[in-house]
Amino acid sequence: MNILETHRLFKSYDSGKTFALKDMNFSLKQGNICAVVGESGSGKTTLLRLIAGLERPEMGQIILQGREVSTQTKIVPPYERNVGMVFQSFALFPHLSVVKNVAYGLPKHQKQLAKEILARVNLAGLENRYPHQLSGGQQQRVAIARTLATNPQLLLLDEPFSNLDAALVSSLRHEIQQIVKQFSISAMFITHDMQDAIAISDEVCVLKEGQLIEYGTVQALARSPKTDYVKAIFDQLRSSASSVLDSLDL
Amino acid sequence: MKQWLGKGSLQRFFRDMNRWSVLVLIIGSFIGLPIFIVAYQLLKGPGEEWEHITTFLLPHYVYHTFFLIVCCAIGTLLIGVGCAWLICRYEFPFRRVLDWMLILPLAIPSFITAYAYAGVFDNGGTWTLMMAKLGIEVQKIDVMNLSGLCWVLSISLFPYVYIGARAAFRQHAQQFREASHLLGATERKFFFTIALPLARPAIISGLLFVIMEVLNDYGAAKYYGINTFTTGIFNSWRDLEDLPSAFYLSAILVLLIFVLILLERWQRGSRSYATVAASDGGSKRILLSGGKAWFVCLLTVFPLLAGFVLPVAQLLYWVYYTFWDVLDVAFIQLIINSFFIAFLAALLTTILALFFVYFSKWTHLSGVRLFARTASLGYIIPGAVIGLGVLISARMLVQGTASLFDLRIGFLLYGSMLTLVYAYVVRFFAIAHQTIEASSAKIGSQFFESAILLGKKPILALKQIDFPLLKTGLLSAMTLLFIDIMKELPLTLVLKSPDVQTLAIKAYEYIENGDQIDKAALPSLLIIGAVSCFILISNRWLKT
Amino acid sequence: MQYSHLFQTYLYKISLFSLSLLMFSACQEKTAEINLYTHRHYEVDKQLFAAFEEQTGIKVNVTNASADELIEKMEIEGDQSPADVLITVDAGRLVRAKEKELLQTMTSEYLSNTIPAHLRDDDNQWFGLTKRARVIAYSKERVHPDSLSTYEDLTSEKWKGKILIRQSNNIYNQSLLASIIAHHGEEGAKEWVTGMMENFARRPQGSDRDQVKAVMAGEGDLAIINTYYLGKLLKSSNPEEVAAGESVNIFFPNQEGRGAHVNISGAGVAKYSPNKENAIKFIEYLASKEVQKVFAQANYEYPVHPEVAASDLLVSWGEFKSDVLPLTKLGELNLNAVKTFNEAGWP
Repeated sequence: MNILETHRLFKSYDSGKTFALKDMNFSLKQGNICAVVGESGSGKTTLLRLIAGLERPEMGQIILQGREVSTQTKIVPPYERNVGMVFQSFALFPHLSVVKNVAYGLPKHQKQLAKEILARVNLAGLENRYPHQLSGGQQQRVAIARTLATNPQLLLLDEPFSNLDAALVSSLRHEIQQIVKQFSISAMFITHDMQDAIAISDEVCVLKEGQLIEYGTVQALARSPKTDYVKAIFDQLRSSASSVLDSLDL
Repeated sequence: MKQWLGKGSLQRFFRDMNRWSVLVLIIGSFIGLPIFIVAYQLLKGPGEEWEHITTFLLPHYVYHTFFLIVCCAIGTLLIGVGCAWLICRYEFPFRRVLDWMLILPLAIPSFITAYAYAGVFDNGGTWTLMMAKLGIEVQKIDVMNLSGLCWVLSISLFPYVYIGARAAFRQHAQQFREASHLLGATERKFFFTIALPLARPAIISGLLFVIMEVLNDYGAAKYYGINTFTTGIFNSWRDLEDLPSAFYLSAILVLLIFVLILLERWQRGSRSYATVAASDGGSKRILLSGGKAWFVCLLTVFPLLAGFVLPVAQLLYWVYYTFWDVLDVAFIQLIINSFFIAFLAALLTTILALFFVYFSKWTHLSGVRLFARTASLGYIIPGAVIGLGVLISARMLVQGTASLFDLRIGFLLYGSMLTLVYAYVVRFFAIAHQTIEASSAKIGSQFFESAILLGKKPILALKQIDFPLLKTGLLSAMTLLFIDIMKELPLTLVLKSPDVQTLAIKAYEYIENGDQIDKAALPSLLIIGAVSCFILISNRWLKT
Repeated sequence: MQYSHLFQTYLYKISLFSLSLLMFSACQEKTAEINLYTHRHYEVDKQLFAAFEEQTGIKVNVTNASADELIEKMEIEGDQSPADVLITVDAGRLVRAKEKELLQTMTSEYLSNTIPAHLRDDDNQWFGLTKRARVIAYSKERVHPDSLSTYEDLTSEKWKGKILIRQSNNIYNQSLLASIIAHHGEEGAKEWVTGMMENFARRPQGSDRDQVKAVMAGEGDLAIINTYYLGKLLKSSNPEEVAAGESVNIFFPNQEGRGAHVNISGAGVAKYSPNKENAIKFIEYLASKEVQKVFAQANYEYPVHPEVAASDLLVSWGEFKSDVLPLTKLGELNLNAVKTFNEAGWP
């Protein structure tokens, strides 16, 4: 079953002169991790924001868990979509402690439950700190924990690896994989680096100038890219002898 | 592609027309109503005396108004930019104190500065008396004329330019100056070729404020007997009993302001380097010593003396022997009343602006967003015009309800506090809107978006997340509003009634009555005291 | 610490004081009263009202504002208006109030018998209470009174650069010009205005008092002022003002002809007055001999009561003949006067 489907999605920020997203059709299977790859300005963030309900499309449908959440005539507001999103800057509420941040989305702000979730992302003991007292990696895990607390079926991550140093990146990749399995949810994340996609994603969307130019499993893309653009990306990775390609078993 | 999009646009319109869009439209219309009404009045054509006004009065209005604009622009530029440069570039005695004290002239409404100046320099004034006591024969310094008015307005409004220029000069990174000096530029060359052009957008924005205040001024021009557009609006309304022509004069005035704003936009638009990132911390001041230091100190102290100390001293002198004549129960009630009105209006405006900023974020109709931007034009429209707009709106509403429902609500609207507070909201909404929008932009939308993705409805997210983060911004908006409302004269003058009075009105009445002019000192000083406190608060504690 | 404590007690006392005042004003019993709307802003009036209260037990509630505002307020309030008496400081505004049907006819034998016909309304809707003449104050040092004669003479060549007068938006100047229009017609009035302007010592500015001060300072020789302003200058607590007052003498113009221009401060009973009888009683009180004496003595106004003498100071300026042009005319011609000023460019 598909957790997410989009049909002919169009989004413009200047009432139709240019399009941030053009004719977007794709679907994501339940339990899968999907990487959205593209240069900056290619419409990645717009896609995520449309799915979350933070933006409204000019045309097309978004279907979450078989329910139409965004059509020409109806918009389901973000707070009723059962979608979680982790922002690139984490967006931790600066005036609330860590545990209050995590408990924020819970009914009646249950602190105990929040503490349990924090423990599951290895943050036990930091409950009463404030966001600015944490390191970047810790902040990110709080942000993820906060999102998971509301039991979303689909987790959206905007550039989760961009604010971290290289050493943290591989451990975070692993962690995200773990979380998706552990909470039995699906996830979509944005990255500009194909290596992230290769490392943990089941499926890859490649966006260029607002259009979906390739979509499929990482293996399929690596073996037979349909466009020169994607071919060039993989060629470059090969020539730099990146170790991530080894995992693909080509 | 565009035409193709048009197909579903009506459907989309109904999809995106949410309750926030409706609320934005309601608040916006509420704020914009008096301005639309004035525009509507124009369709009816000018009144009977229009020809009389254009033939005999308009030339004076135009001449005086332009003279004032040009001279005050030059005056405030010289004083404001000069002081900002000295304060930001040099280290000299009392520099730290002068840095913020130079804002204080803004605490005095310009009509009160005008009146204090007349008290000092007119026949039998303090200056002549003092000189006579010292046995010095002096020529009378005549201030009650056009150039005197220019001086008074310049010295009381220059802080607008000073604040803008100071912020810009502070931003200049050390590296600009060092680079410039390494390239062999002199201090003077650096100022004219680097510092000034970089600060230009900020200076011009300050200047625009000055010009709007000059055009808004009624009390000072009236007292000095200079006929400007704003006094002309009052003249044709009160003396010639021709309200429609007063609206036509207003329209010309508003048009003039629009042109000025377009000019400002245009000059800013062509220069996009206005926000060169830099920090204050690194820039070192040139240490002056000896005579030079004291000379520079004197230069910067002078505007403070002329714009604040001198008028306040004269007022204190007057208060000394009128205090007990003025202070009675009714006056205490007036004080309470005045503060209450200012507080209420400031609070209401802030709340409305807060909702307006957020509701217009939550609407997904671009048309509504555009409307939201134009609805906050109130500040550029002179107070007298807004006053007349509110007056005529109230009249139309009263007549409407009287004919439709046989209801008599006149007593609720005419000359009531309700109407005055509403007019303040209309006039100063833009200030609150701008301040709150800026602090909301500083916070960013991500916190709010996180909150709604965590399952909170927008209003709840606003209350729990953005509101606590916005507190400083809201407080500074309220402070700014309070300052402006306490100082406001022309609008209040249109809408005041025997039942609704403010300190500014009381001061103005004492001045206008002519035979107890020194009694105006007490209400004036109360305004200045309150406003100074709030300027200090907003300048020292609400800085973020 | 000490100071802040002191300050707190002080603050506390003040708030208690003001609170009790508020409660006091709220809890007052309903007694006989009148509601007075007045443009007069003189200290002596308060004492007179207090005396009236003492004599009659009728409480006087005062609403103080400019005549325009008071008229507007009465219009808005309509038949619900609490106003009983309207007092203005010129006849023009009373005429306007009458035109707007805000006043009613009073039947008071005392008032009709006491107050001269030209100082009251034809329909007895308003009565003058005090007179003020607009006269010439001339420098004792530099001007010989024999060289003065009429308002019209002020436009002659010999006064070039000598005349001090306030701006045209002032009601006293407007009613002076209205009287000139009434006597000479619009053309004559226009000539007078231009002639005056040629003789200005400086651009019109300031109040009547300022004109006298300017005479002392030597800026000009003649000041056109209302009589009571000179009285106030002479009795001022400020020695500088006394000196200014002493530097001039009063000259009543047009004594050979129509007489000096006179305006009034007057009162009328509001159309929907809830306390009509008390209102008339109050106006009669203001026109009584005793009160007229106070007006004369304390405020240097000329009494309208024929049997009451003006104050010693006013008497010292001598008797004068006043223009008996019906004051209603001044109200009717006010707009013409404003326009004539504008056309000539009198600031």
